[in-house]
Amino acid sequence: MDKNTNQQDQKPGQGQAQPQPSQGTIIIAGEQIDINSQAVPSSPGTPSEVIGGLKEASEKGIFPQPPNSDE
Amino acid sequence: MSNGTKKTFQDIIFDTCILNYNGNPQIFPQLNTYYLDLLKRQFILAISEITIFELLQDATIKKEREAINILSFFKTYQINSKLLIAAAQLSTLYKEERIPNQQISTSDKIIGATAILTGSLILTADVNDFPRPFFQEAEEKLLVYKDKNRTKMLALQLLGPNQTVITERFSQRP
Repeated sequence: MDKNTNQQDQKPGQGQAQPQPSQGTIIIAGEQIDINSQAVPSSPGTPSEVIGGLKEASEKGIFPQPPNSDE
Repeated sequence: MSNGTKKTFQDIIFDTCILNYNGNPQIFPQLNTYYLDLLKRQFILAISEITIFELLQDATIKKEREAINILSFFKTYQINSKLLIAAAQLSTLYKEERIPNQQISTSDKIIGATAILTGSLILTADVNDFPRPFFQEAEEKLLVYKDKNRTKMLALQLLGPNQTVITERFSQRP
């Protein structure tokens, strides 16, 4: 099977991934859909708000730990 | 050519398990460094609404409020009917590929379908939830940490949907 895609051409262990443009179409329920036209995102906070929130979640143990964190 | 400074933005959707690992004080400092690295590379950190459901299950009122506040900072992808149809179709593709259906949760199919419809990457600690050939690794990050005097390793993967394979298989569905 063709494992290549025009979106992701990095291979495992080959450096760092970089943002790639999202484009193309896909057929969903018989309709041709442009990738990136469907799910509507909310407005995010700033990167520092996200990082600050994650730090707070870690310090306060807000999110439950994975059931199997011994892996 | 416009102004020549068009930037590429791509989202990274967090698998819920990544946020679960946040609560582990041995792992969080390294996770945090990795998040900063991803942001530096201009990625945008995102979640699916299904992650809100997964994280708030069994929460106390206090934790629920705190979690909602923190999750509000993430770009959040809504669940709509198109997305649910795509998630169901993805499930069919897994079955056709003989990937055991019980192996992958409905939540992970919704996250996978969200990545497909938005051209996003997924950050996960469990590649089995987003199987080949539909998802492929763009980057791997190994976190080594100490837990009760034992050295452990957590492998994080950035996975991207293989749109070529997915489109082909979608069209070949029975």
